[in-house]
Amino acid sequence: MSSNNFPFAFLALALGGLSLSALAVSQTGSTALDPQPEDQIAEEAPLCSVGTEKSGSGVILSAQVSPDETMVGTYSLAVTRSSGSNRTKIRQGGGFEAPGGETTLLSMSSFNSAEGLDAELTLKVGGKTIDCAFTDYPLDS
Amino acid sequence: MFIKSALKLAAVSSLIISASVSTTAHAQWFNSVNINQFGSGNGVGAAQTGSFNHVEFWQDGFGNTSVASQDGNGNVSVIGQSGWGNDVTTDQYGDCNLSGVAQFGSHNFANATQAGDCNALAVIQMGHGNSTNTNQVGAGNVAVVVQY
Repeated sequence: MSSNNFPFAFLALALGGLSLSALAVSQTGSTALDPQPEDQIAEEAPLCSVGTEKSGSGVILSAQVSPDETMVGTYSLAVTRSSGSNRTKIRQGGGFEAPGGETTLLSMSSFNSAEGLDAELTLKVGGKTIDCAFTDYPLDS
Repeated sequence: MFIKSALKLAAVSSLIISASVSTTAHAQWFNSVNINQFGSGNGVGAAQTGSFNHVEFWQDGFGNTSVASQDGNGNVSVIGQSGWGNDVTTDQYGDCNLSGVAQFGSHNFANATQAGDCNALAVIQMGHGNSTNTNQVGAGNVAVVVQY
């Protein structure tokens, strides 16, 4: 009985092994196709941005530009803050020259709180207008 | 009724009479202006041309107006107001100027303009319904606004 069943049992084991091997190969194949760290495109640093950071009991809002190559142009920063019934409107702007590969601070504003704070930074470089994200409220959100 | 109206009229008249306007103008260096006003509906203004000039106003009451204009470098203007419905306007042209405004009360308004580089301005408003409007043109400018 067992001798008669042996070939079938062997065949079943062989088929099972083959299927496992095939599964392993397919798994290995899919892993190989996954993007590897070296294949991933590096996230580009933003050319310019407006961000806030805590400073004591308040916040500092800074506008900065980080060009790859030296950039000459003008900037315009509009900041508004609405807190309770109080209102703040700040306009800062002017010319700038930012060396390539460095982060250049364009302007700074300080507030007692970031509540109701909003900012828009615009650069004009070589006839082009560049809108920069307010990192607390990204433009693409 | 007539007495009440007369009293009101007298009160308003006294307010108008007590209102005063002070103006001053300087050109040169190291000039200093310090004016204090108490009451309502007062107005004070100063204009300075040159460098390292100093303007300092204090107004206590309501409906007061302060105007300061400075053209040069290293100038300082400091304006304080307490009460409500007060108004401050400061203009500074040149580099490395400093402007400070402090307002205590409600519905006060501060308007500060600086044109040049290396300027700094600070506005502190305590109360409600206050408004600040600042403009800075140039490089390396800093603005500080505190509202409570």
